[in-house]
Amino acid sequence: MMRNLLQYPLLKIAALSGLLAIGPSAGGEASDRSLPAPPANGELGFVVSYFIQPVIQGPDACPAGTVPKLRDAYLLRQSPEERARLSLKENEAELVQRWQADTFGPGGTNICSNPDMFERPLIGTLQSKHSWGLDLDGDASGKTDSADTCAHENFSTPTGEAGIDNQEYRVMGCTLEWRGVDGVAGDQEIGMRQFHASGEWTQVILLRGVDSLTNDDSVEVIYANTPDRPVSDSSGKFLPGASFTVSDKAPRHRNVLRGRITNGVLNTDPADIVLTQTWGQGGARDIRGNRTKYDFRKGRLRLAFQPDGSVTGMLGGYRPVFDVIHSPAIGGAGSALTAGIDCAAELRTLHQYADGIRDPKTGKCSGVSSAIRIAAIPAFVNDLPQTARTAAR
Amino acid sequence: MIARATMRGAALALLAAGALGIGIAVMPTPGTATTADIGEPASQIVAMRRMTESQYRNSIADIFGTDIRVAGRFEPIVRPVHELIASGAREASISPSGLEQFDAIARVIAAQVFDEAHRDQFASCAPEHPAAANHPCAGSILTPIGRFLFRRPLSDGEQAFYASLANTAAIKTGSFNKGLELALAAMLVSPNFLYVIETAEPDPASPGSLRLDNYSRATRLSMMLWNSVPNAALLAAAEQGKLTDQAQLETIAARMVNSPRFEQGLRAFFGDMLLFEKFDALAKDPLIFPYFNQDVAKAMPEQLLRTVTAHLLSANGDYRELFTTPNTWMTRAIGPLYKVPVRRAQGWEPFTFAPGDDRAGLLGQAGFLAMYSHSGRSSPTLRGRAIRELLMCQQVPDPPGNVNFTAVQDVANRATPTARIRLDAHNTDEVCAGCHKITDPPGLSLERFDGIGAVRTMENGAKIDASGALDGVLFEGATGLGKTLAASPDTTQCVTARALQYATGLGSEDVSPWVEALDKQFAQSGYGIRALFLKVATMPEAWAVHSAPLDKGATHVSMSALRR
Amino acid sequence: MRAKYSVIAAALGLILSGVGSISLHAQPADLPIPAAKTSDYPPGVSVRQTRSGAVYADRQGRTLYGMDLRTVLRWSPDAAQYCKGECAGLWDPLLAPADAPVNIAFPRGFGGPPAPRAAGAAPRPPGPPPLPAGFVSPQAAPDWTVIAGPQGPQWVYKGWHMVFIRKGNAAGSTAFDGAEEKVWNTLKFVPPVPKIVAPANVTTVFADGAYLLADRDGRALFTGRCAPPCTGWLPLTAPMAGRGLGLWTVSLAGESPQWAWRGKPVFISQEADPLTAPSNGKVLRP
Repeated sequence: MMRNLLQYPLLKIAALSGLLAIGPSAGGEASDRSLPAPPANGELGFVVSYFIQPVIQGPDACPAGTVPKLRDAYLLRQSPEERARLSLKENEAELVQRWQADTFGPGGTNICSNPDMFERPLIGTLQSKHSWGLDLDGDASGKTDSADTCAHENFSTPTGEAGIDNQEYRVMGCTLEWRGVDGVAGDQEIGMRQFHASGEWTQVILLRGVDSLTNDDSVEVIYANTPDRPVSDSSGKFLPGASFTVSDKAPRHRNVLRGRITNGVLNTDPADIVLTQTWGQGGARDIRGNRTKYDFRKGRLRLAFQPDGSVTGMLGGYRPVFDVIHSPAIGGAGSALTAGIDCAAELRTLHQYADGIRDPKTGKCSGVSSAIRIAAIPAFVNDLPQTARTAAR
Repeated sequence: MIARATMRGAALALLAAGALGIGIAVMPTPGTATTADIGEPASQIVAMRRMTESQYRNSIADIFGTDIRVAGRFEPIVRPVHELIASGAREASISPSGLEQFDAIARVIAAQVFDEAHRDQFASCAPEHPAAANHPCAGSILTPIGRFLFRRPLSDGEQAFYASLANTAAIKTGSFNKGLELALAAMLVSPNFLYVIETAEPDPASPGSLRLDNYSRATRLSMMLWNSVPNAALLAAAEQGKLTDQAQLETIAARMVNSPRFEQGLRAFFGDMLLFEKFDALAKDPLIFPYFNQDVAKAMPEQLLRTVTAHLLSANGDYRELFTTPNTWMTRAIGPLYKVPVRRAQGWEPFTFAPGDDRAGLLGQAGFLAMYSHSGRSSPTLRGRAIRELLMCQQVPDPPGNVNFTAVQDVANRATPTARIRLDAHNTDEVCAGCHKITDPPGLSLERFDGIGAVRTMENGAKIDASGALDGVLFEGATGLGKTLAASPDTTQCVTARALQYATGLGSEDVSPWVEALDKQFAQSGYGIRALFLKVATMPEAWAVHSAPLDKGATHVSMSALRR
Repeated sequence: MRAKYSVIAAALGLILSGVGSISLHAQPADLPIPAAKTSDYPPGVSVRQTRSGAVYADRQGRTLYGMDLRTVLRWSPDAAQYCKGECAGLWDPLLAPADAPVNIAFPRGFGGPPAPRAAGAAPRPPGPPPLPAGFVSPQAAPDWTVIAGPQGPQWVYKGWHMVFIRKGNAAGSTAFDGAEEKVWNTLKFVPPVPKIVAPANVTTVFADGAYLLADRDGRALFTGRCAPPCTGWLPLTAPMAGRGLGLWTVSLAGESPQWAWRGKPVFISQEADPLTAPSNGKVLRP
């Protein structure tokens, strides 16, 4: 992870200051160096080369440590005497059998496929005041309910921007999957890069009507998926200058956004942004073809132009709470048994901290504010407004 | 030369029988053909040329279908210095390990041809029981196949031999199809398939001299123009004796160069002329050239060939414009190297470089620029040498063995940031300077392209000077080089000579007496490649037999073995 | 160790670890429905022609829709229970008889409950959970199976498509095909693949309601007469030594050996839409 982030010059500063995986790009701040000239035809294309929830390391984040895994959580629920007995080496087999059996319910249900059928305590949340993200609700205090948001604690960024909404990070930020075993989150990045490198989740951005990279009051932004694989160097780093075609086959996601550039930073107006998540539909990884999606309600992009032609910044929006755990939910019992993930506890905590997508029937919020750090490098994007016919063999 | 080639062929036939493990057992069987009774050769062998890998592959695809897999490694034909592989093929033998490879490939092909999915397409009859041998049926299946493989009718002895082979193998294996499979595999390792055997007959127009016979002409035409075996019409024309009739030969050859299949032939010719076998070993340092990968390496020769065929065939273009045209083809794999958009997600699309890009013709394309570079840096010397040797047919001497390359290789020295400066330092040694004067001035004009052919304007922080010179003409950049080459008579004479060598398998010196006159005719045609190849395919000089045939006794022995 | 606990391990690694046994039969979401294998339909179900092709319909002629179970997982851990409440107000299930035995279920990820502990027994390795007796996996399902739906046993088509009828939909209407990002799709009837005797590089493709002959790349085969230079008329090359097969013969008349079908030379479509022929060509149909 460190090596990849250091490819972006501005992130070096953050790494050196001990705030790994943070930087001006996370907030979408403009570079103080000279920007490239605007394109003659007003079009700029990019392929997304980095797409992951930002994590801020540091002792204030999770003072109690990371969220216990199912095995440890099971032990914690036992009496001190029983916990001591089961912890003995000779009783290991019994412990394994018991905690694993505890992840299954009647009728073949399990804690990750059917998380709402299991009652589990809330997981420990993030304690730090800092998070990367965007101010999605425009409420500096975060304490006010609105027609579509629920009161919550705001974060501020390490660079001092207040009013940051990122309840997804608050809930998930102390899980081992997000924080990493050794204080260096990286597994998600590796996995995410695989998906983005394979053409399964690969995303492109096409800007139209760009007259200036510094200030432009009207820019059209196509944010879409492409089935085409990025070109990489021998270390897997995406290379600029490749061509991509916007996907014309289901699941096709092509978000048309409006935005403006101010002081070298592009901001888009809030709009629903939907992006592909397919699970191994292609080639040798043709498994079962489950399909989910990235669904950012009131989503927006903040992207800062960089002197090397790339953009760095943030995608923010409200995600339905179940989306946050749909990855381990698809894994089902395996997610619980092998990765030790307590999907039920995570889902319950997400509901508890939900701050957006108010359900008109229940009046409760059903989504969490979220932020994804994005970097995108120059590419040629072939927009494809039409879809193709399909045939069966 | 002829005797050597023929004897190698004989040895090969025996090896083939042994490799099959069944042929040896067949021969002594009473009533079957043996080495002694296969039949007299109809003609005198005057030349043998080993089929190239692409000719082999195309032949199998043509005869058995494109879905028949040809799997295995081919023993390469050694390219003589400064010559074509086509010339090397005249001298090419097959080593025992090379024969084993051919045998393995043959078995895989034969197994597919007679597998359940394909058998019915190739078998005109079947025994009553699949386990039964059936000599006449096997013969009726194998004989027409053999005609296509050997590019001539099988002799009676050959027909009997392969039918017997299938019969005996069927008995031994308990499978009629297995018998066919083994007999076909034997055909595929026969020198009659692996070698283009040119035979001559007395020339009625010139008593006492020889001319290539009809079937040899059919094969030479098809290999030269279509890079594959003769089709049914060409074999029929040979059977009817049309190819020794000049008027009919010209009609047939004209049809062939105007056929879409000529593209396959032209690709093979330029692949030979431009040393495309070197792409198989092209390697670049991934840290210095992150844009280079196997997909790019595969696309590079294809881009060159598409440029060649689109210009020379689709557009009927002037050969000289191959050095100046801004038109080429792009694919997604190679687009990033050029930093240009490619709309089509799959396949190739036409592309025209902008005037300021300095990408002119073949020499401005990544394939040429990368091939004639080192793994980590460009090389004006290699590029200049390739221009001289490949495109102008001029020979550049190899460097002496004791050269000190330190100055030219020291890319980290801040005092010598560009290749031009490093070569200047290197050329203070007069021993080196002599050759570098020949190669470097044209090569330096391509320095605005790095070791994989990507554009650059600076090297190690210093601005690149792309001025160049060739035979007294001064110019700037790849565009200037292209114009200079297009204006040079050496380039058209070179391709003329190469076409002659390619058709005949002769060396540079052998064809040199014909080049000047042919080049003039090439010019009269507007330097059209079809006209050049049509002339080469029909000029009587190219059909003349210049070698004496092997003496009778040796020929008899050799051919008996070859008929195997 | 880190990988073991990663989200990706859970989502990708674990799923992929179970691929081996099912990958050959996988039918991913968003691919066309494969050809029917039986003409034995559930009671009341028939095939009906609509303006957008043949679909399965109920007794009233209303188009049957498949809810692709693989696309609703994000809203419901058990995809079979997705259509309740608001959804059930819009869609009626195609119910199987109340006593019909349930024989299919949406797979719940990987890994099953640990086996009862026996002395020395190793924990069960992660893998596909065992199927209950009498159940089939969706990947290997016959055309019609029965799943436990919110309102009782309900028909499923081709293992993944839980069958519904849109409330209030008129007979013959296919208005909701592809609705909600292809969660809802009409149950398209693709006739069984015709058996053909043809060269190995020829196959069949179903498009626009009928099968056509195509090459292995899915490009339509056609015949007809072209005006020279016949650009875009790529011959379907045949083996020179080939004798023909069924209705197929090898024509050696041209420069390349070419397949002929019923005596007419065959070409491969080079059109932008590869399932069509040039204007004066005619697509071959089995």
